Amino acid sequence: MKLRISTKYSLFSAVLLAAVATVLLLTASSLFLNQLDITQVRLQEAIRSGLTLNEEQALLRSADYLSDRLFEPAHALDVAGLNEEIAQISRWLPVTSFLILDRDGAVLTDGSEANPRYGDRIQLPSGPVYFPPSIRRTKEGPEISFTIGYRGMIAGFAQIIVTDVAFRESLAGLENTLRQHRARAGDSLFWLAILTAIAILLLGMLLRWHLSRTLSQPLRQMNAAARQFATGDLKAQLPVYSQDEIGDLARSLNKMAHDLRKSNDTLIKSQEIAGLGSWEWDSSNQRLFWSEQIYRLFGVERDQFEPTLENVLPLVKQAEREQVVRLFRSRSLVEPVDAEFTIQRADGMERVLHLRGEPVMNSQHGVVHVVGTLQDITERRQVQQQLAYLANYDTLTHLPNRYLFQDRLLQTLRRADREGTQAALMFIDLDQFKAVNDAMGHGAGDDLLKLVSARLLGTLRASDTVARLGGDEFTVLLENVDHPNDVAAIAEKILAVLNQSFMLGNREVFISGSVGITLYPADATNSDALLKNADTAMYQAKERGRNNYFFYTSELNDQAQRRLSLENNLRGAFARHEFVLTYQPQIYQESGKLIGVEALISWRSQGESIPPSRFIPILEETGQIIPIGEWVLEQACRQTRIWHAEGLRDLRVAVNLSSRQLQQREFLTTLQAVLRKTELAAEFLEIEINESTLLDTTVGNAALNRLQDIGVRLAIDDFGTGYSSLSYLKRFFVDALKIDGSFIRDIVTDEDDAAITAAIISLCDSLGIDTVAEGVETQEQYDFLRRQGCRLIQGYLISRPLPPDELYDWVKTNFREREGFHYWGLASD
Amino acid sequence: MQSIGKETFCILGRRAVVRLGGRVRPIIMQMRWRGSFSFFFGLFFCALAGSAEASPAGQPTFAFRLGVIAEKADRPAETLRQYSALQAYFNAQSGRRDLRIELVVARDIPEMISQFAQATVDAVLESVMPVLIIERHSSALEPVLLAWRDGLRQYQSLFFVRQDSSINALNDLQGHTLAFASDRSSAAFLVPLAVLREAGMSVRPTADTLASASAVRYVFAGRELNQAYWVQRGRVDAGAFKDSDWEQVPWVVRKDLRVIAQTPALPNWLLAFRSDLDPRIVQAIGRILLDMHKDTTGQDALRAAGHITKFELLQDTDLAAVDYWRQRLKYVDSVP
Repeated sequence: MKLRISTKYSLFSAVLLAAVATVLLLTASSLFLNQLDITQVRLQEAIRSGLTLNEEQALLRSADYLSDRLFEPAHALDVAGLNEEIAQISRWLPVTSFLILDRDGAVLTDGSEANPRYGDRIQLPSGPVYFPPSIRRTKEGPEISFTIGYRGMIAGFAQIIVTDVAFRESLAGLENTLRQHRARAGDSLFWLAILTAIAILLLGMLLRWHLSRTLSQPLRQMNAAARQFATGDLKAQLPVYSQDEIGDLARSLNKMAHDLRKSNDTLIKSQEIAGLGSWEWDSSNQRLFWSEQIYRLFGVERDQFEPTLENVLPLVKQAEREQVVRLFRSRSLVEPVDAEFTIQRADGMERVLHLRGEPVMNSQHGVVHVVGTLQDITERRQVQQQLAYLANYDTLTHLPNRYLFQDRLLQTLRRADREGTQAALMFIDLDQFKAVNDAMGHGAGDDLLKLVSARLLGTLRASDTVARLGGDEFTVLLENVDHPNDVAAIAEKILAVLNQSFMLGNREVFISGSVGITLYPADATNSDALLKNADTAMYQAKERGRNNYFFYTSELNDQAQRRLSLENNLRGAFARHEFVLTYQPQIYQESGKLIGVEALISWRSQGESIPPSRFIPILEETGQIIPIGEWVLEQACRQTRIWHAEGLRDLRVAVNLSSRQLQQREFLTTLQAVLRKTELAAEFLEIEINESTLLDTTVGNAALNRLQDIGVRLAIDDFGTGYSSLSYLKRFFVDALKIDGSFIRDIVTDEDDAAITAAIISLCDSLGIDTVAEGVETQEQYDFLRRQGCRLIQGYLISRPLPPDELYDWVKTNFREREGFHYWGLASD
Repeated sequence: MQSIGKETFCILGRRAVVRLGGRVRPIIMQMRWRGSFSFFFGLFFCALAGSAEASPAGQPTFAFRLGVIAEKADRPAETLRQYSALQAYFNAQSGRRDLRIELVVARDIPEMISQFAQATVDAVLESVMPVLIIERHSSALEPVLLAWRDGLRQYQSLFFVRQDSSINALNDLQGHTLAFASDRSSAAFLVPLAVLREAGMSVRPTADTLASASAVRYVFAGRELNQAYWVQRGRVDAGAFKDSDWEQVPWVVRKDLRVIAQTPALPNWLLAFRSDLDPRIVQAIGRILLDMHKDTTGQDALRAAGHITKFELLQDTDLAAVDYWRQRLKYVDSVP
């Protein structure tokens, strides 16, 4: 039987108390009763002797009194009176025999009516003569004899036997009383024992109640709370009854529960945030326990779902159930478990769960249970997939990116090596993509790239790889190539699909592509070289007029090497003062007035003059365009200021700026500093930018508008070659348009160019914008332009670009001066 | 043994009826000659009852003063104590606020006579001779009730001597000494005294030095029992007391004695009312006393008051006996 601690302690205390009380009671009772017995005997003896003595003394003292009292009736022979006296005396004296004797010693009366001893002779102590009262002990009791006399006169004698019955009764009564007292004492002791037992019982009950209240009950509550805590329910709050250890324990348990609750809440919250739940698998009874979070992971309610493998399996995707069953049914579950599986929750959501578990073992039973975690990794998996995708694919076109392409390329090369096959790599660059991007915006450019991607995929085999390396550059990897012709055919197909129109919004756009092709292992033995070869071939195709494909050759490699050499030379060219500026004059067509010059940079390297088209892109790519452009600007301004000083009045200078320069925040500051430094009025400076720069959103619009505020003119170079958006002319307060030389070249022979040129001139005229025809080389061209009303002419027909010192001489030679201005002789007078 | 005659018992009854008033007198008279005492007594009490009921309400309280003579002249308080139970019982039973009993204790007959003379007593409870003595002196006393004592309705006085005495008849007592009980004792003094004197003997106290040698001398032994002892021990020659006392003498004494004469019987005790007392009061008192012996409390009260067994109405024979002794009362006139 399980006893409560309060019952146990109270029983123990009660038994202990009872034992102590019993020993004490027995000892005290024994001592007391023994002492009582001794006292009783002594008391009886003392009383007996005391009573005897007292009685005799009393009787002797009574004799005189009795004599006096009896004298008169005895003397008068008043027997009736004597009888009355005897009766009265007998009321207070315990008389057994009361004899009144006459003077002769014969019985006169014994007090009774019958008086049977009347006349009997009685033996007196000293005969029928006076004698003092005397006492004699008889069986019946003390017998007192005395003389009834008065002043020597004897009326008779008396002999009284006083019964000692009363005495004995007194003694017996005393003994009885003592016995009763002893019995009463015994009873008292008995009742004391009963009362003590009851008191102990009550005390035990009280103790039990007290212990139950102060010890057992709190312990029970703590036990219940501990069991509750063990089940995970930490809501229980123990009442604190006292300030002792129990109270401290209750407080500690409460604090522990609170801390655990807090920790648990934190854990649950953490698990909730992490999508992580904990579980425990009891292999002995095949039971599964899990945390609250796992219910949430499975989308089930705790009170409606029993966590058993049988109940869980239906939630697991069919294909993965066997895996899960194996995990938990394995007899040799001794290794850590790590698995992922997908479930379909009751609400239909699919979640990917990551299960981890570790067996808990002991030496006796091996695996006791398995504990582990279950984490919802759906989002992580998605992110991983997304990251993997992002790492490997181009988000815009969903084609493999450079990284994945490199991997595929390596794989392809290895496969080709293993199988002894041939592979081909195509590098595709879209022609005019920049123009589309600039004109229609990046959104349109992105759309175009997606459409191109789709067309490329549609053109190629599934086994082929199409990748986007960036911008408008695509690569195609072809495996198992039997012959270069097959590759060429594919390249043609690609060019063909690219030549087809693209619908960007509601606009139809036409582009072309340039394809560079290289073969493995014929052209290179590693992937980098292959990519470089393809890139080189692509450039070659571009140079060949675009919409072409070109197979890599070793010559192409040589060209590339040269370009590399050029780049290297260019890095030190500025320091070596290899750049020079030449100025090509611009005149008013109508008056022949020299209005300005265009500063043109040229590079003389190792005795060779390298055209700007070759090194300007390299300068832009390498960033050298910034310092060199600033140098150009300053040189041009200073030279112009010199010319002004030399008499070339109001001559202005046009300086080409790249978009890189304009993208600089401090550009305007630099410009103003140059003007201040060279002391050239802003009005004599014209900044030329091409269409693409104007439309480049990265170029600050405010910077362009500030040019007007400063007073610097703005001219659009190469107008007509790109996406010629006329709206920008209005927005940026353009001062002049320079019609590209490609239009001017065939202006006489090509009606389209003539029409376009005429339209531009007309438009600019209506807008009040100066038109500058550049590349004018023939008189026919000049005439046409004059007819159309082009305001400014620039080209070899007037002059080639001249070094500064030559320009002044040239002006002095070929221009007539009037009012400080110079007019070209060819101009109509 | 001598016999003493009984006549004119009805005299007392007639006198009593006369006291009751003229309305019932003819009937009483008729009843007397018919000799039907019980019928007479029934009518008597009916008449009393009728009178009593006719008593007006609001009448002042009447204290009925019962006179008794102390048995021991020096202990009247003891007598009062003896009769207190009777008094309490009576007052409790009277049920009438206007009637209660009071005790008047006299030390001796002369004092009682004096009480009657002063009208401070309404009735006296005593033996025949004292009552007659008081009656003779007050002339206004009527015995109405008879009291049984020690279970005896009446008694006789006996004359006794030692067995070996030469006295064999009353006349033999001349020249001898007689022991009486006390001077107020009927049976042990007055009655034998009257008998002896009626017989022509001179009966004188022993202290009377003038008495003749033939005179019967007497002493008082105080108690009847002493009389027997004295006779037995030869202190006196004879004694006289009532027959019931004879039975009380111890055998060791009585065996040495013998009776030589006895007197006619006479009622044990009498309750005599003053003649002028309201008959309704007499009736009321009588009704209570007559019923006393019917309950234990009453019996105890009676026993305490002189060993009375019960009360009853004096019958004609009783009245005759009383009257007999009334006639011989003259023989004790000379009692000191």
